[in-house]
Amino acid sequence: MATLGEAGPHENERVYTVSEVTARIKVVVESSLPVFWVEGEISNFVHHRSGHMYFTLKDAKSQLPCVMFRSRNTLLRFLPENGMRVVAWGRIRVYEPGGRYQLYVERMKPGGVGALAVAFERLKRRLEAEGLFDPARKKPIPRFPGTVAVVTSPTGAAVHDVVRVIRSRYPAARIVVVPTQVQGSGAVDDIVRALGLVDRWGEADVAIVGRGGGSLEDLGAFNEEKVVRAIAEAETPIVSAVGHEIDFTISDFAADVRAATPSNAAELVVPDRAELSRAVGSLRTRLVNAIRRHMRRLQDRLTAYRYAYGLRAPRDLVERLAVRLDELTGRLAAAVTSRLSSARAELARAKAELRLVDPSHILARGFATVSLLPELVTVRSVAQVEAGSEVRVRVSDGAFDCTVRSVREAAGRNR
Amino acid sequence: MTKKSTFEKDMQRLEELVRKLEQEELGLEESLQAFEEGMRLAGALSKLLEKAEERVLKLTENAEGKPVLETFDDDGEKENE
Repeated sequence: MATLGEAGPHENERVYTVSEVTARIKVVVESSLPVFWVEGEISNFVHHRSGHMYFTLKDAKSQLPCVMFRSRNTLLRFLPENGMRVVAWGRIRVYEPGGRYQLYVERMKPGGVGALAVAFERLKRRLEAEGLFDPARKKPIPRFPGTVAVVTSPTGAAVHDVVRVIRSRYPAARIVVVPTQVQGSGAVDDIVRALGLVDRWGEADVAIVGRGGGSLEDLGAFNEEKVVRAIAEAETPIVSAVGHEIDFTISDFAADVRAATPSNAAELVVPDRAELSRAVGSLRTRLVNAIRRHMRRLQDRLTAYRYAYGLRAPRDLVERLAVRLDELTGRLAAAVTSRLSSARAELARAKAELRLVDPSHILARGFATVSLLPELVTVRSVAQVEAGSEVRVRVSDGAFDCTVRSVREAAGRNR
Repeated sequence: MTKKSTFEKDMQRLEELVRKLEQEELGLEESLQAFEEGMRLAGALSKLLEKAEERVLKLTENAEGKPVLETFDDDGEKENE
């Protein structure tokens, strides 16, 4: 009789293959542990000649094998070594052929900030779940702010950077510094107070809130719940400008826009004057071109009249008008505001004269047009008719048909 | 708070006028008016861009919590008066 230790599977019990078990482990581990931060001490560090780094993260009780590929570890700003405390960010992968798992490290920082980083993540997640960072909450930043509030230390580098950039890009903006303590024990309450003051004052179109770079501890106030809430709840649109390019603070998530640095914030809140000048200039050019086209159409109409009616006097008038319109178009194009009124008066006169050459007006003044029947060819010369010709005479309110009795040429010419 | 600056409103109006004129939706008299208004706006916008606010201000509050505006002394650049 077999001992208990040798008892085989029951008839209806499933027997897995090794691959099946490993595959299940892979699924369970990889899906239940997405990317995360982990803190530990480096040991067994090897910088392989392929450029990849292999090491183990350990604490008092456990070890976690890690790999950091060359593409990621070239971004490190420190050289990892055995015994160093670090926080690493990445995901677990199960290597099926070896039945091993490893942390694939994407980012890594020197440790000692472990506790702070954990608190950071916890607070961030809680406020995020509350909807504080919801994109729908974000207020738009005005394109052309008249007044920019700068909530920061009055003596730090940040205020200088912001003032310098705004002055060079968009000097029309009014800069209002709101002196605020940004680090130390009183910083949290002071930032909250300053944000309240900006809202109460109500004249700022946008506020930059921040400070120059610093360690995670220096940026502490901007990771405090009170400050984060004050930023999220401010009525004035807020641009956060805390720390440096790489580190985010929780305030960054609550702000309407996050800028990497104070200078960057200044660039984000004000437009570039040179660019705007070009935009205004191009609109002005388009305006002038469009009005030219309109004037051109007016001229075309005049030309059409000239060809349609061969009457001598109006023809001179039309030609004079065409020249005048040409001039006027040029003047309008060159017009500055002050000269516009005189250009307009002239155009009004030109238009009145244009009305005179309008065929219906000409006929109303007593002129008539004559055309040969039955083809209705306009009669421009006595040579076109002879005694007995049938013609149609058109006047302002109608036409009548006539028979030519005799033909007289102008004085001095005989037929 | 979505108050729009004069600049923004004027710029939008100018863009609108240019668009209308270019599409030739307007009669002669209207197009002339649009042109005139557009030129005036373009002039005002250019002027606004040339404007420069010299002083940097400082916002604090008094004992009653009322906002107070003063000139901001950029450190080192004290006002000599």
